[in-house]
Amino acid sequence: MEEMPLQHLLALSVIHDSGSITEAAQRLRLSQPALTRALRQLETHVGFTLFERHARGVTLTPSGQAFLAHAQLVQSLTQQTSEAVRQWHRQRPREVRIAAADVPMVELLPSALALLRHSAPDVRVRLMDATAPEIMACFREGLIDLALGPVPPHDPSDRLRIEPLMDAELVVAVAPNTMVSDNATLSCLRHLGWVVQGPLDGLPDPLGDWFARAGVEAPRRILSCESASTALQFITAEGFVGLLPEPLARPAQLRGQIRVLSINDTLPSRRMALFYPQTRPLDDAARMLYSAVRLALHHART
Amino acid sequence: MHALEMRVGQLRALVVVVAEGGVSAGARRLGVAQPTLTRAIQQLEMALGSPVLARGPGGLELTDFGRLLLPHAQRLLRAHEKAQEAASQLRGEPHAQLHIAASALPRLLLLPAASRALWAAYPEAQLQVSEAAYPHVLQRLDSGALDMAMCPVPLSQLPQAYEARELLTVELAVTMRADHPLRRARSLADLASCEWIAAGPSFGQGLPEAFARNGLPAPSCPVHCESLEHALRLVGHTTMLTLAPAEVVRQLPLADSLFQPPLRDQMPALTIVLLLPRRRALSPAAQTLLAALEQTARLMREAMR
Repeated sequence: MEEMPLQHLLALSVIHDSGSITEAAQRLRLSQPALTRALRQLETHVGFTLFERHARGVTLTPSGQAFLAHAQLVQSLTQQTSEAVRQWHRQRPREVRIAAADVPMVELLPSALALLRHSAPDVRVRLMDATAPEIMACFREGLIDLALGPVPPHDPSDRLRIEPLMDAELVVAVAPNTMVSDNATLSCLRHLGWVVQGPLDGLPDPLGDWFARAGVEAPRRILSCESASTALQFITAEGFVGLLPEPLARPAQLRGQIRVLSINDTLPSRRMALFYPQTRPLDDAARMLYSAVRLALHHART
Repeated sequence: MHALEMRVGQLRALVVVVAEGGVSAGARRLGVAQPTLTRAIQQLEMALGSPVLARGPGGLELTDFGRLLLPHAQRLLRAHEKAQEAASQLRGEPHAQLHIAASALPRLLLLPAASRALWAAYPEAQLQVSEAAYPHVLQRLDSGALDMAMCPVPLSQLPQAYEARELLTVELAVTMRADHPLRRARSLADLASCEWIAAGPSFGQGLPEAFARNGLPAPSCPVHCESLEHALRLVGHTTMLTLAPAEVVRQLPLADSLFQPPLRDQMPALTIVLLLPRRRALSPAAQTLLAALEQTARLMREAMR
């Protein structure tokens, strides 16, 4: 059986204090139906009727009266906890500094930051504009606490703690008016210029690997860039074929700026991770952002 | 940060992970998957705005914030469990879990009759009785670990957060080994050169006062004993003396090896009180026991008059 929520016990105590469901709902900032529902659930939990309903409000039944002290104790302990927590936060200004790549920036950070703003409004967030090679320097100099982005190239001397977050699917996109069919093959696309968005430093070359696996000679003209906007610009203005993560292509596709092709060959994906130096454990503020990212990921999946 | 968003399951996750010393052991104990437990902790951290656990050199450790939160979490969980238990009793179910603390006198004189009343109403009640010594009991009363306590209490020092109800007052008597060389003593002055044990009730108080009231210097008191029963056991095997109520000595298995000489001095009295936290929620079963204890004490006071 599910547990009796603390909130329902608070509701009981507030309904008793205000003597009417309507007033209690106002005090609890709940709608009247929501409060009535909570009360009914609590009555199911305890197994007896708590309130007698009258024309002019509600009064406790004898069993409700006997149970009231328990609800009041829970209410008072909850308030005491809130006060202790508030006081704790008042005493400690906190800041977290992160570097985030484009994909986690659009896929995870908006909801993670919303969660963080809600949970820990006192935490200031600094987003640093750093990509792969610079991130390591930033870590070494203590300029950032954690990074979100493609799994960095393996280098034991970095001593990173790396936690995989998600696999960003890569898609092939062209300008809407490009004269290729939606299910073009790699061999007919290899004659065009390609733009590949992604980190430039030491990471596997997705395009070369992909063509090699498909047994097709790699395209000749390749532009690699870190910025999604540059990639999109080359696709729309220069007629390039772009290989870029789906989350970055999606908004441009929705606006009709690009057309995503349905390529038959299995497309590569890019693993995104959260990482930070093993030698410097996350402080409180960084841990809060870390948890917010984890929960945002969990929400995105469910 | 919104403490009102805390869930019982999240608080339990924290308390169990700390008690079991890790997430995997905690998950085993609760019968849930490890990621579920980890997520519950993360959700608690999000609800409260600060991490509660961190990886330290020796494994998972409480953060400073976690250390602040843990006693609150334990208290809330306990209050929640008690609320569930009270609901089941109000539905007419016979189970009850009670935990009280009592010093020797109320344990020997009041508890037997009072517990009969509890079991008559709640045949499946489980009653735990631990030793009560002031002021240690206060912390357990405050945390909700104890429903009530009965012991002697220096009322002038009792913090505001507790309520004391007087149960019983008895006189203390000098107690010695039955074959003590000074068994013919008839005044405290005759016993001034003895070594004394300051025990339970007389712990630091009654003894020197009794001597002072009779114009004597404080006696040598090399041993302090929290439990009166331990003190009486020592008294039975040494030449040391202590102060104990006759009512308690009579009830003990070693009563025959002890002797209380009739002294002409005025002796201190000992008042046993029932201690309750002012902010409390007693289950119906606990209220039954409380009423029975007070009733038993009332009958005993009348019998002693």
